[in-house]
Amino acid sequence: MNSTPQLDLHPDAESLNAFVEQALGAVEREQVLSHLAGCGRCRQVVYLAQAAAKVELPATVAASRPWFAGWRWAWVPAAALAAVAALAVTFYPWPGGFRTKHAAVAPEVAKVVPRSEIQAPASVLPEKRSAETARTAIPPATFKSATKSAQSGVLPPSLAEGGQLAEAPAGETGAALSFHGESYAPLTASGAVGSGSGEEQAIGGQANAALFKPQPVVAPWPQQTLQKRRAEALERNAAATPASQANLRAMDSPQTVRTTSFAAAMPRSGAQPAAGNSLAVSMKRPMVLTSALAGIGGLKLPNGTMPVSAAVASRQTLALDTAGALFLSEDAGLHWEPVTQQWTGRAIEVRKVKAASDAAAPAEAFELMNEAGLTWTSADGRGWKAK
Amino acid sequence: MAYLEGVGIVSSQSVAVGAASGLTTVLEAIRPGVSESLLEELWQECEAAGWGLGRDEFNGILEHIGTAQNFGQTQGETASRQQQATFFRSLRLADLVLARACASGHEGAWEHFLVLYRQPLVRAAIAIAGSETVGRELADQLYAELYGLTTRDGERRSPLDSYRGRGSLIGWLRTTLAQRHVDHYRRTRRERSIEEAEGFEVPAAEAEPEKPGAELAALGKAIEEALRGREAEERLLLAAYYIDGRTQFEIARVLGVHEATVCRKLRRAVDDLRKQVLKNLQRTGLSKRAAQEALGADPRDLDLNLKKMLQNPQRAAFQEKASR
Repeated sequence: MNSTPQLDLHPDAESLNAFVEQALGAVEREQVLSHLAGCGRCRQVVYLAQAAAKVELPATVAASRPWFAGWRWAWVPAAALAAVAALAVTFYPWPGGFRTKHAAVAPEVAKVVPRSEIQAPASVLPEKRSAETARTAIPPATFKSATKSAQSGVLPPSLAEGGQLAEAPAGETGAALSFHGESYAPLTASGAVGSGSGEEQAIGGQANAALFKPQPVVAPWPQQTLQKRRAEALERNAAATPASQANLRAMDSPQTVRTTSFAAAMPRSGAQPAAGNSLAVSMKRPMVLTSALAGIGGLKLPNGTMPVSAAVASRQTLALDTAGALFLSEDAGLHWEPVTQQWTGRAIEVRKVKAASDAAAPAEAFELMNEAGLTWTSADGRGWKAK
Repeated sequence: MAYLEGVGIVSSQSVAVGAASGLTTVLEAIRPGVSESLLEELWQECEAAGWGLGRDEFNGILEHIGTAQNFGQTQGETASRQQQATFFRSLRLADLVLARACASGHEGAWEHFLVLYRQPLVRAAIAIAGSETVGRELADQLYAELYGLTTRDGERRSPLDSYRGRGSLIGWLRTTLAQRHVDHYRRTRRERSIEEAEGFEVPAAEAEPEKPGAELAALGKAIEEALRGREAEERLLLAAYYIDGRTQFEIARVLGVHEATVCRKLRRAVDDLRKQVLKNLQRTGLSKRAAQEALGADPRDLDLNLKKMLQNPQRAAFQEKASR
């Protein structure tokens, strides 16, 4: 190709710019087109002007953006805020709901218990109301399971193998179960319900007692309080189980606001005087209740675990955790309350059965079975009778 | 008369009663100029008073622009009043009065111009030059000219006087920058090539190329005829794509059409061109097969000046000589 001699006359900047901006009439446009077809210089001018306009365009667009254009990423913090609000609403301890029964600190039991003092468990009927002699019924199997699950290095295996926990002075040993709330209603075999805020109660069996120490309602706990309690508990229970520590750590979370300590349902320690070696037991397992249901039939127990067995009859739901503790819910698993043990051994299964042909009794009843295969029945899930 | 009034050639105010005055009125109607009402409307719209432009001065600018460009009509045609009004309404009057106010040295207009166009001018110059240093130098040089540092016959002359409001002022500034840069590049490239040529030995004269055969000569002639018959837009497409090596997207932006349209038009132009070349070859006496074989000739064997062929021989003369 030969080089082309350039045209002497070119369209001025006005015409070229008007051509690019489509501002020329048909005649003028045709003239410019015809010139551009044969003039490399003017084509180059047009290309360069277009390139400059392309550079300028984003700046112009950015300058003319509406005031709300900078908020296009605002949905991120907004979504986060909405999520936090949803969590707060979900886990807020509503006054009429799950506030007092379960707002409690973790049971704290620490005492040296001679192994020789361990005796067989007795019945779980309430008998004493003395804080000084309060004892907590600790089903051996329950405690064993809890100990195993907690991977405790403090509790000797011998205790978990079927021994009992001896009683210990309240506040120092024994089952010092403190609950924050208006009333805590651990259900006993007789249906007795501890009540009365500010009144110290002790519900125990023959050699078992639970010390209930109602305190002013403090739920939701402030974060500082939670941390303080956590630190104190850790200090007192240096040998706390990893699981317990994990649960204590969970107190820091917002969910802890609704944390519930089901002391009566948790592995409890008691102390019975006996000769032999001593045993230090420290239990602190605040349970975290989540409204999210999971596990069997979407159930999730207050301690965060899934039930190993559950039964639903009428409006009541019963569930057993891995430790053999029984929980009762009347709102399809949203809230749980522990059921005082009225059976021997470790409960392994709960199921719904047809009630006896009694017109007064409900058509459905519950049946609970322990490791030994013995069964107990209950019409309301609270009171149990050996079958 | 009613028709003239209806189409806007004759305003109701200028319609005179009587045959004697009728001809005068018609002549008055098609006389170049802006009607009072339109002038008032446009003058108010572009806020020319803010830049110190009175109605008379504004009217003079409009009349000058309209007359110089024949109101956008082909030379020789007489634009009607309506066409004139349409032409005036299509102008970027706000930019126009600002440019004229700047050219006349209005301080407020210059301040406004600086706010609006100083930075865009620099950015455009940098983009055009491809170098910040060269770009800033280019922008400063143009800005000095715009400010009227150049004097001629004792008067400040500003290129802004040549802005006529057909396109946007920023577009005009960019195009002016591009013109300056291209002209400067072409001028310095020639100078450089001469300097460089001095440092090298003059290459020996190349052997006289063999004279193309009859087929090649016929092919060259057929291509030339085929290109000459193409429309201006097709020739521009072919030149931009095959000679300049521009992308279809770039061409589309220049023509103001979609990229797919450019692609389609290019394909059609090439197909038509090929068919036309074949026809032209067959017209010279070649058979169809021989014509197709001739099309397969090595382009390097052809002595064709495609750029020249793409020029329209009946190209229109433009008012301004670009190379200063």
